[in-house]
Amino acid sequence: MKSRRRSWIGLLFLLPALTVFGLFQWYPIFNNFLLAFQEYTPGMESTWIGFDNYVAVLGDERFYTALQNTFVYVGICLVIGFFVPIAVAIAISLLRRGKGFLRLAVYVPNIIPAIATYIIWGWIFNPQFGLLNQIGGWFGAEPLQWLVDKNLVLVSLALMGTWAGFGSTAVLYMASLTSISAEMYEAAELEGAGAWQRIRSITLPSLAPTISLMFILQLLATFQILQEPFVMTAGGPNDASLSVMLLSYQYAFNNVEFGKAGALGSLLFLMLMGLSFYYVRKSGLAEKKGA
Amino acid sequence: MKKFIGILMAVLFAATAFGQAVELKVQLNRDTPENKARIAAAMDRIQRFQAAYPNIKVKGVNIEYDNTGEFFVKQAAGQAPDVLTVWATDAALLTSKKWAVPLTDYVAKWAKKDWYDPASFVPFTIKGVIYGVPENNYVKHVLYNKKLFAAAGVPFPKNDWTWDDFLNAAVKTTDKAKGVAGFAPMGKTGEGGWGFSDFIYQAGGEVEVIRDGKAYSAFNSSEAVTAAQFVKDLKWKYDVVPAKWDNGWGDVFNIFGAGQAAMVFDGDWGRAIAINNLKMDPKDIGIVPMPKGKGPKGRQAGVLGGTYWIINAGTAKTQAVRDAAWKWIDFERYDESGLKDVQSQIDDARANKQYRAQFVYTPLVPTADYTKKERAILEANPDAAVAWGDEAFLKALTATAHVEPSVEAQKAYDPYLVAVLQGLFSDKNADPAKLLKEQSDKFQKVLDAANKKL
Amino acid sequence: MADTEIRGILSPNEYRRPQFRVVYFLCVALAFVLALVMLYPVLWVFLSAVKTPAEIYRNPPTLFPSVADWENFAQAWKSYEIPRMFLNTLIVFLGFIVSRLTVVTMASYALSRLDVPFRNGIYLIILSTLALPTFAYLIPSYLVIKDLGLYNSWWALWVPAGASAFQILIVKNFFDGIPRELSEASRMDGANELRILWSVILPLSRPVLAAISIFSFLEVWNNFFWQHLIFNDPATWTMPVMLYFKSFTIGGNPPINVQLAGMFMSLIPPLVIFLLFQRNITNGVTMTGIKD
Repeated sequence: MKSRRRSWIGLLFLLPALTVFGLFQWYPIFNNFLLAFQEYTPGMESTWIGFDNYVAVLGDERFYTALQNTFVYVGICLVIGFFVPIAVAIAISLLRRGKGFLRLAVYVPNIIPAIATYIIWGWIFNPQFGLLNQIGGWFGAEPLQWLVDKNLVLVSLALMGTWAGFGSTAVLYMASLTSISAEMYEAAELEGAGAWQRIRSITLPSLAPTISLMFILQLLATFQILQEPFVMTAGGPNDASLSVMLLSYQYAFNNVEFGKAGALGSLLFLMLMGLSFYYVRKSGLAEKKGA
Repeated sequence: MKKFIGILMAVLFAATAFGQAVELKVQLNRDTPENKARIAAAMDRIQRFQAAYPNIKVKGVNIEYDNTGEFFVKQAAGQAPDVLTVWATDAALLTSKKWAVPLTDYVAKWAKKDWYDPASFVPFTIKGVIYGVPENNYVKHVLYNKKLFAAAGVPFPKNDWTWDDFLNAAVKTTDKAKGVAGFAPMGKTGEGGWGFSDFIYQAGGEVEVIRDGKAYSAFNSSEAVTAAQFVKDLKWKYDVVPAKWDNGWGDVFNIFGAGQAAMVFDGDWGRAIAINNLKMDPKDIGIVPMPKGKGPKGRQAGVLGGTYWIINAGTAKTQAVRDAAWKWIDFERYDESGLKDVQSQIDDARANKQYRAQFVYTPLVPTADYTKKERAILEANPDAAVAWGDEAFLKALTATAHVEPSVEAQKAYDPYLVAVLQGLFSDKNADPAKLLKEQSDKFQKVLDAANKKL
Repeated sequence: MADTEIRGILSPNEYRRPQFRVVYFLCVALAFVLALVMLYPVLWVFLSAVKTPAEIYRNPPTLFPSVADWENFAQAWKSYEIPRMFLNTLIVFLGFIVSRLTVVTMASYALSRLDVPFRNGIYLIILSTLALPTFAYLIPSYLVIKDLGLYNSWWALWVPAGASAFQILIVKNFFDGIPRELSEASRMDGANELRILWSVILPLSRPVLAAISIFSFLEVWNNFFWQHLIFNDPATWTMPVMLYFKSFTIGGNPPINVQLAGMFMSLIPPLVIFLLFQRNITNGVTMTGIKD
């Protein structure tokens, strides 16, 4: 009887969220899926064309280019960007002075208006006068073409994305770090564990649920990358930095083919949902933890 | 009692039927501190229009067409204006999506149609049907930095110059150590393809041809190869383009305005960025028509564009609204209020310490009174307005006009032509002929699909 | 500014040991470089705002302006209508954060500590909204706003504020880490769930709530495209819409150095908010009554 009442209360607590999600997320997403089966021009009558949009998307060779690019980009971001926030958060927690200042410094890239970020990084990556090539010059390296080099463009975008984004993730990790009790460290120190050992056996395991959550969230986010390639390279050179969502954007807003954009979006969605389902199942993220 | 209500309802119904106002949504710039004079002029015009047509109620919609993403969203919600100005480049897109109402009948019955130079209607005439009324036109031409030319000892180009002159000027003005490039082309997205098409036309080639009512891709030709080779040499043989070559529309004019490029192509508004955002002195900007391309069919050619009035089929669904929209287009067209509009733009510019710098010419016949008066106003305000080009230039310019593709122009530019351009610029060993053939074949497939629907 | 002696991974006297000092010094040096790399762009924006426009785009680039024009800030202040924009954005943020925190904390609490039917399903369906970027369903979302009559008013941002899957999941994750004994004790005292949430869970959650408040502020501060669509009337405009409008419309833009001055001034509120909230993030929170 008690558990029945509790589950009723549980739903009640969830009700506001479910309502806003329903109205402002699930309903539009569902409509978007319907769009994938139509030929839709804004303002005009739309016609149902079944799977034609999907056929068109799967038959577009740029789709496969975009897919490959996106996978490569996600891979690069994981290698470059996944561990940086964790390391930085732990490192900052070790400092005795200037924590606040560093926290701020790390977070500033998140705060700068996107336009300024793009101007600044456009200059950093400039093949002739950019900062990176200048620094490389001190070490005698050849100037690299960065954003206009089809082999480097994804790495360049990943660098920029990591710089801009790791601050917020680091802040989250810092928040989680605070809940690790001091007694545990004390006990470990008394047992003779070194600093690195303490990090390995106390800090990291406590952070594990957060790391697990951030992994899937970051994965989802990087798969949907749009703004960086859109502004910096428009998918170039020659579609070398064309991502799946950028292609969808081009379908929608360059060619006014919203049906195809919806089809591409739903394909990506299905793939990511499959990934998330599997991951959540395995990691138990959805489990109830309290009593 | 019932009878009374019945009569009351009948009277009310009759009253509303009589006073049946048509609501017309028109495009209106946003009211900001920089726009005061223009907004005031626009509101005045609305008042006068409503006075002239009491049963039309005008509603202003704040939308800037330069952000087409916003336009699509508003269109989907039925909130877009019923009558608005759009770019000539989008003619193919707007007509294929049936967003533009056919205007042939309106124009045929229009008294003012003889005011216009017939060539000005061409960009928005698809398959013989007129979809847009020209507001103003431009033909793309070359801007050059007089200071850089003088410093390099290059004489200012003449109106009939050629690719060799162009190349010579670019090479002499390039100074990579100082970061100055002789020529800054647009290198990415649709603008990149759009800019590349100029070179194709100059070599005597075409992007698209229409035969028997069907569209065919035409840039797999020897003329296009000449153009592509020339463009490729600009980077790899002569090194006159910026090291960072993937510049968008705005970037190119930022570069030009900062004195980092000696020449750029521009239609109408690019120079406004250089002058107003980068504070370049208008007197340092020289203009000259496009150079003549190499080869037997070489000619001077630049894309013909402009802004056009269309009636929005997505929101103006009834004949009443469409008629009202046409009246809006016709109202005070090319008379005193148009001149007042120009004056208000100049006043705003002066208040903001900027220039009314864009270059457009009226689509009217050269002898039109209005054109002369407008020019006079520009010349009377040298501190806040720029009157571009002398008579010789304007005559030479219109001769170089070349219309854009009428079917799937947007797709021609991006991804197909821009793929050629980026391929040429990013790979030293690119094969122009191969690139052109590849992309042309792909574009043909797109045209085949479009031809089926035509 | 030495933080109080709450020990972290290392205890206070460990810091004094020589081998730690060397490593520590290295870390400080690295931290210094990191801070420089992060803050350099801010400096660049500020210095560029006083340059002439041509100098900003010049190659090779200069850091310090050759001629400084401080007028630009005054001009940006007027052109961007800074006071009104800041005020508008502040009001919008306040409504936004109230709406969001209410919905998110309640939902996270339910998912973390209450019995909920179809828990897994609900978690997944909330997570699913992260599998598609919002722009993909831009038009349907916009139509919902319009059909509900929220268009052109700040309610268009306040009502949907709670629909943030990212933050619900983050907060739930944090709640998961709070020992259950604490709420259990409260429950035995006869408190109802709302009271437990309010008096027990939330005070312990200050770090994560501060974090998501900062994130929410940045959402409001940076999301220009969506706000540009739903706030049509310039009277309702917020700072991001103004920034976007001044930079991206053709015709009537202020010169680039004034734009950068405007951008620099727009950095200040997020910095202030961050400074206000960030203390809460890392001040140690001790949770009493932990059983080992």
